[in-house]
Amino acid sequence: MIGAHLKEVRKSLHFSQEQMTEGILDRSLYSRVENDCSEINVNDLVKLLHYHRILVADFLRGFGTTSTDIEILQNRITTAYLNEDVVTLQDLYINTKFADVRMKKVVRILINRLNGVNNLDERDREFSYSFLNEDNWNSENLWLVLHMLDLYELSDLKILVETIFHKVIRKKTNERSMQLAAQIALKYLEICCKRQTKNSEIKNAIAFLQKLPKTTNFAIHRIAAEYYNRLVNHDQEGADKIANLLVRN
Amino acid sequence: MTIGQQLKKTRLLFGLTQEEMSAGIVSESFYSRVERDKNAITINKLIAMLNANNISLNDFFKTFDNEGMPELKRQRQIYSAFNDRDLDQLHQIEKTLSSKNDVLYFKTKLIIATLEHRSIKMPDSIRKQLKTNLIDLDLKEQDFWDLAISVPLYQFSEFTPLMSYIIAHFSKLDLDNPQVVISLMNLLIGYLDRAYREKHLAEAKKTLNFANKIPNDFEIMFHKLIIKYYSALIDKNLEMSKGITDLLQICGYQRYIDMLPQANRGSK
Repeated sequence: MIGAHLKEVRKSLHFSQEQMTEGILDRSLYSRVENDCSEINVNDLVKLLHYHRILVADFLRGFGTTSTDIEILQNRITTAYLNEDVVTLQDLYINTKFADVRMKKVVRILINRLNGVNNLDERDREFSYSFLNEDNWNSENLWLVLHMLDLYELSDLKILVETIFHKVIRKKTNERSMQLAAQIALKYLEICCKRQTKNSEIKNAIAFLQKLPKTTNFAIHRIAAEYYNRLVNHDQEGADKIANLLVRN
Repeated sequence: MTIGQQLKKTRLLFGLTQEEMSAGIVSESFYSRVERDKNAITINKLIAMLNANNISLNDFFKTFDNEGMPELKRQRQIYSAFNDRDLDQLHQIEKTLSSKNDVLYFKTKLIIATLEHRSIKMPDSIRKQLKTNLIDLDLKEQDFWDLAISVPLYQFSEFTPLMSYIIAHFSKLDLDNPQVVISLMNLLIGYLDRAYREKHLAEAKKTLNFANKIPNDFEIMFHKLIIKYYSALIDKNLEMSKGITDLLQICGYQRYIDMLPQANRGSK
């Protein structure tokens, strides 16, 4: 299969086997690979493809059984969650092969909550609270926590969220982690307002959002920060103005 | 990043043991040697292992593609600077590109010229490469970055059929992919900008209707606001257009506003 595909690619480049392998790979080995008599090792394949400016990910399209990238899957779940779209969540829960079982667990928790089941069973509680001792705030963990924020007691939540703010600001994290932290801040603000917490918590979250880069990716978070800023300062009219601009035409 | 390192990282990320990861395709001891880069693994076996564990090949190889083809990273930086309307960043990127990287170099030049409202001279061969034919338009496979940055290369009437085609095939677009949606929004904004400045109001309205059909996902709410600004300009709704620019200014997006057509001065 791989051999035939390599041959196809070589032909499309109008190369001979010599031209294809020159300086990278033994030609007779390559010839056996093309005929599926030998298997090529991963490093050689990566080197060969990159030499010809071909993406490995593109080359292997069709060889994988899992087509969805983790980030795209995460985004679909997040969107369904924010839209309270139980049908989509159920569909994803049943039809997706989750590589990370923790993601599946989160989807099930979300479905339960949207169906009005508010009490967590012991295992789910343990799972959500395990993040209070988390040290490694990579994007996977940030994503999981984002969807469980309203499961925590307010005092725990405050510590959790402020730890995340601190970590993300101090360590120069990647764009994706930053995005997730920003979404966590927004969800946190929403929860704080709903549960009518003290203003200091709200102000901390606003301050975090205002430190985000002034790029298009964070524009909506910065706008939301301005919205909450007006709310905290009792400028209801100003806050409504922002809300009105953001609703659909 | 080596294959071994990436395997280990992926395995730990998904909470798998070495036995689970090797999935009966290779022996556990061989797998363990691969993870320590003591043995090489063939692509066939690696694919079988990743498939057995539902790990996306794309996710697994992305890192290697980024490292092995640095121009891709460059290209993403260029698109991202375009998305931000960040001229400083674009000028910096321009300096680091040798003209040997022909297409990337001219892409950068083209974006800069567009944002500075200048026209640009470029070799015909490059121009041809940057202009997409309707026939080449494959809605399933690609994002719209190249199309979005090349809007100024077309006569307006030349571009309209491309837009109509995309609008007609809306259901084929992969809107789950953030790069597709964000680049599509940039395309719509670019087209809308021309339609407004060149007074093709019917086309502008068609584009606005289409934009409204795109789900209001988080990552494009800013772009939707910009599109709303154009809609306010067309409707001569001064209160709304001013409301939007005021808000963007307070939130730190003066740079973006400066590139938009102004309400009081009318078009141009």
